[in-house]
Amino acid sequence: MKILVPIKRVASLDDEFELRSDGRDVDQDFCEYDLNEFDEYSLEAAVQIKERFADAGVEVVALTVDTEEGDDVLRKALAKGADRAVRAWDDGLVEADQVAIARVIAKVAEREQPELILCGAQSADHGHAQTGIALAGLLKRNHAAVVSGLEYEPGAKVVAIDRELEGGLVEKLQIETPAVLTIQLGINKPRYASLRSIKQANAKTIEVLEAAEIGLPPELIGQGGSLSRVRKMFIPERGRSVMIEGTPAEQASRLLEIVREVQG
Amino acid sequence: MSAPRRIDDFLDECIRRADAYLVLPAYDRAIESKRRNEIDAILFKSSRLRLVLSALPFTPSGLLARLALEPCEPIFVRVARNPNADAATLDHIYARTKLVETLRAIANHRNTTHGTLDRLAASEDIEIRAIVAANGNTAHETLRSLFTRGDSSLWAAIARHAHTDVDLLRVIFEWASTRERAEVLGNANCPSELLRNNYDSDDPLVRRKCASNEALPIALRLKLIEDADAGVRAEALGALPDPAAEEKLSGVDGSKYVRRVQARRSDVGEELIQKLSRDPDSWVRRWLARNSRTPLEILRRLLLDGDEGVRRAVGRNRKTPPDLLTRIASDTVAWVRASVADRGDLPKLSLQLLEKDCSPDVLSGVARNPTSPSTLLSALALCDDPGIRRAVILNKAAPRQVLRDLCEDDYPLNRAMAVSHENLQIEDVWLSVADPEPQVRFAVGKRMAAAL
Repeated sequence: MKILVPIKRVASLDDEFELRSDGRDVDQDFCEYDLNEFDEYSLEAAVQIKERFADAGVEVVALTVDTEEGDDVLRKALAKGADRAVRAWDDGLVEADQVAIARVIAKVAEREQPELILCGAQSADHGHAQTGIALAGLLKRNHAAVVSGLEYEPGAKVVAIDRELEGGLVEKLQIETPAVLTIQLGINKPRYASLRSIKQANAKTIEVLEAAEIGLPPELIGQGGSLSRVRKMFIPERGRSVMIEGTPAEQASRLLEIVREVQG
Repeated sequence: MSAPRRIDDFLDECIRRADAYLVLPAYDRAIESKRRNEIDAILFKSSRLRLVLSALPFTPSGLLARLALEPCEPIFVRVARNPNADAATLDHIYARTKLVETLRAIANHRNTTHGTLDRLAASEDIEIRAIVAANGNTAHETLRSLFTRGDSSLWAAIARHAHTDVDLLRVIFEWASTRERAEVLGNANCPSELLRNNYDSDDPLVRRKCASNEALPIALRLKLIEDADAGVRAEALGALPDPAAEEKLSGVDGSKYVRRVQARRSDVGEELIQKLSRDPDSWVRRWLARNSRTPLEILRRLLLDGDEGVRRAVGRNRKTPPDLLTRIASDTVAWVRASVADRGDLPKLSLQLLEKDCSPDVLSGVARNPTSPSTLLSALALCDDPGIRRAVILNKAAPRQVLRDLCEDDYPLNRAMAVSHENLQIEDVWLSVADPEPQVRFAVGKRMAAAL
């Protein structure tokens, strides 16, 4: 059986950054890229199922929708236990929103026919938390979001999951497979990739799917397949604040002065 | 390939690999070589890399100076915040930047020249002026000009500053509020007459600041040791020079904050030690347990204390003898056992007992113990816990073969630290030249640059 793990290369910002000239995104020069933290957990969950049921022939397939720069995160996934890596890309996907990305993943999922699809609950950069659920909708599969516990035996008709709610409550569900789950942080402890596995991963082939192989009609690639478009990105004006330093007595004294100054 | 034996061969290898992190620690050597242009091509190859290098705290000052030649505000602000930026580079940026954030970073930098700080002190931006007032490098003339500008919000920082001279402190004191006067009284340059005239102020904040000033005459300090305010008493006692007259330290203070200071003093008397050893405050007992003056029979009693922090403090006391260390090694609390695990004077049998411990803190201590045999270190280097493996790397006696294995550790920080260990030879270090982690390759470059 297969477990498909869609992963994303996400950007973390430098302390100081600039926006692109079109004002719709951050200038890439100010970004550090790495595997989405949420996807570390979903990948680890998949690999743990594979290792726990070593005789069941579980194959973990990592998938990303990205330019060739996405190969870095795929190799990381391979080093952490994924069996195969697939990258899908079409230049028309540059303007793709999370739904358009989900369309591509859905096409690959139709091809791979996994029993489970484990997505990170959201991406650390854009944080929409929509790709996994949009994917479930496109595939018309049972699904659950923000999964904090997971029990699955390959071949079983159901997967048992926990979901954390507010106030420390835990909701226990059973979802019929095939299913799409979005995985929350903390569900497990993602492993470090050993140096040996990193070297082995660097030698593996990444399967690349281009436009024709993806199988989406051109009008659904990128902007055409999106339901949203970023109009503008900006840093809002902030109010002025000052830290009052010193011992508690000094801070209290200064605070009193400020109150008197403001009161006039 | 075998490790390069000459710096030029190493630089050639860096060029072949086009590895910025490998060559970075050797930059100062590289700019003196014929390979300078090729090295520059690697370090300056992309705008992203230039931004990263501008911010890295271990980028050499020479490279920061080169990076700052590019008229680029994002690079200016990163270099201005970089602790390795030298005075000339900061002056260069100051003359060219238009960003307030960069000016603030320059105002805050320890290497900024007096002249530039003086110019920044004339800024219209109050935050820049405040940062200049707080910069330890600011000259007294600049502090004076900040004061005469009239920003009362800066007076406390100016009053606190080590370079503020006696005359200016007098002027501030005359014009200031209570809070700023207190700062004047706490300044090491405070005029003596101000201390004499204010040590008995009605305001405890003022008395506390006087008490904290080491220049306060002993006779006045001894009066403050009997002050009504516990904070004043604690400050006065804390700054009382050793050794003080024992009768001044024999009484048990009513405040636990003062008793903590008493317990810490290296001249605490035996009678007071006896009393403090039964103090209801655990931190008093902890300080006493760490005090090298505490007699053996008191340490034995503190070893039975119900508070694990007290027992641990006995374990950290350098005067604690081996028989007590043995008992601590059998404590029911792992954090207490860990306090003796790394001690070279721990009896061998106790170390053997701790080898079998389950606690990562204890095993990390065993791994750092200078008497741990190499066979034990080899075993600990295979632990699942990366912290224990790191502790092996921290052991100066870690064997070469163990370190070679740890150069392939799963945890990148461990690999970087292993590469840096002096028990590894250059041939061993060079095996990590193709490590996927930049910090490891930087560590390799650093060892090579130092050795060749």
